[in-house]
Amino acid sequence: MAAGLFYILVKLWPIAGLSQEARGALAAFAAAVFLWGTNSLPLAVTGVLVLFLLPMSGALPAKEVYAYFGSDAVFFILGALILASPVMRSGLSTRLALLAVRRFGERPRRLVATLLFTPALMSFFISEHAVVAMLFPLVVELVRAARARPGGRLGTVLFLALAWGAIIGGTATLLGGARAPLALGMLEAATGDRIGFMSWLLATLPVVFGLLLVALFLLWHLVPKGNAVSGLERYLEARVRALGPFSSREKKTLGLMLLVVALWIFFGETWGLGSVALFGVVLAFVIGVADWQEVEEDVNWGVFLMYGSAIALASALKATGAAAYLAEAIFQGVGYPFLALTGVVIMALFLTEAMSNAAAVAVLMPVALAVATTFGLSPEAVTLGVAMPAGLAFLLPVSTPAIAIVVGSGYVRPLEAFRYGFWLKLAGLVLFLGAAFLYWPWIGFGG
Amino acid sequence: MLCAVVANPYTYLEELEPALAEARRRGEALLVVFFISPSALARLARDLGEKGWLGVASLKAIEASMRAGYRLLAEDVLAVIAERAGALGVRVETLVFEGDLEGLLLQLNERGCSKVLGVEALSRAGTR
Repeated sequence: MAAGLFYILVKLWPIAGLSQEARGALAAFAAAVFLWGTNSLPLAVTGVLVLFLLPMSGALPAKEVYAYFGSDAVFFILGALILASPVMRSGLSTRLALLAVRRFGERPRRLVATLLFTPALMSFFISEHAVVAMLFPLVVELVRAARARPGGRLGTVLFLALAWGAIIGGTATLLGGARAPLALGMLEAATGDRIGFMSWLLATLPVVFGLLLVALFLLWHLVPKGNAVSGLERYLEARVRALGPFSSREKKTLGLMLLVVALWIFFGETWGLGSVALFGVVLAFVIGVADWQEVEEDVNWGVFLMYGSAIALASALKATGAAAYLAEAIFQGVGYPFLALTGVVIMALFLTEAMSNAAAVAVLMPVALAVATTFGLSPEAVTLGVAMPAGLAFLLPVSTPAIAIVVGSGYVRPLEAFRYGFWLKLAGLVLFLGAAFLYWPWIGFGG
Repeated sequence: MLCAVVANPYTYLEELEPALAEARRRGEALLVVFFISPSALARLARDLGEKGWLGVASLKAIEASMRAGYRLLAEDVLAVIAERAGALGVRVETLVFEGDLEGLLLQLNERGCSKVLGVEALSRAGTR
């Protein structure tokens, strides 16, 4: 009801200089922001509503709206999510995590470092949310084996390491979360510009490693130095023995993922990221590591409805001039480009705490791209300025599944997640702005 | 018999203090029930699935591991409570109950609970 009221109010409100089409796009945007922000409807259903509102409001013809589902970014997400299925099902990820913990994690501080860096590295290749869901049972077992008591420091730190590692690592590549491909899709639809797989990684790596070090420092500060964690070694031995030898499926999956990532790096620009992902999917079935029934259970197909509609919405806002109007209204009086970019980054960092990462990108990207035009900023820098901070949600359980899962564990109090996460958030802002103004111009993304 | 329900692993000791004090004053035993609501966990997993675009299999896995984690957590929490009760000289019985609110109330009735404390936590768990 409230979303409908928003839609009607914005559609009928007389705004000087805005065409009927622009007002229609703005009205659809207002309804979507309300619904994505309040979660009154599932994210995908709001996407369906946008697909209906855009043609109905006269912002874009229906044929044009549906054509945005043909975006390279949408098929990249489809391929990446299907490819994640054999990684999870083969047991490869659990084996790698267990081996890392057994190799490095016999003392509390080293265990914390392993539990921070292992999910971070895994999130370079598959969705951070899937990594947390996959490693959560393992951390529960580790916490029990280490005899960490509820309310104790060790349990809190181990669960926080899992969540923080996955969240930070998930911002490094285009595979860690679907929000980065969504932002790329919106960038391409609005400007025709692209950011390659390797270029993205190059731009984000210093921030990711800087943040991982800050996170490690914070976690080490919470956990005292100590002797070997009693009971852990025996548990790990038994767990690794139970896994048995490296299976053929695990080996093939590892080989496939390495090949596909190499193709994204070397041929992503020429073939298109989506085409490489689809090639990887076909190969996964040909060599027998993927199973369609498993894929059907592992992929949340609603992602395509939301992403296709978000790209169409951004394009409608840009094409009708509504995005420029919004950017001007929000950033009126901001005289300097660096202040405008800082504003976008801060908005992304805090909006993502109140709504899902993807919704924050969908809401901010149209405005941010218009800000880039107004202030003469690089659209690529602005895209990074939305997509990466939108992934850095550390404060509230509503912000991201990783925090919700560890708070739900019974070992991390919501207030502790907020208090420690706040420092990480602040470090993220400083590191991100430092990279944007000092490092990105140097690698070709004018900040 | 005096009974108390624990549903929040973060505030259980504060919530139990009045129950322990009353059991001590009356010289009665206290039954402490750790309540796990599978439907609340299922709802949580569904929300996570939507926000993180997790597939059905991942959702089921996370829900199952959270339930298993809660069962283990319940043992730890009840052990801490038993320790605290022992220090106060209160006789305490513990129970982990996994099911819906109606089932919990039936169970409490069957165990002969004359008074149930920690109702605030109970109502929160039921509506979560």
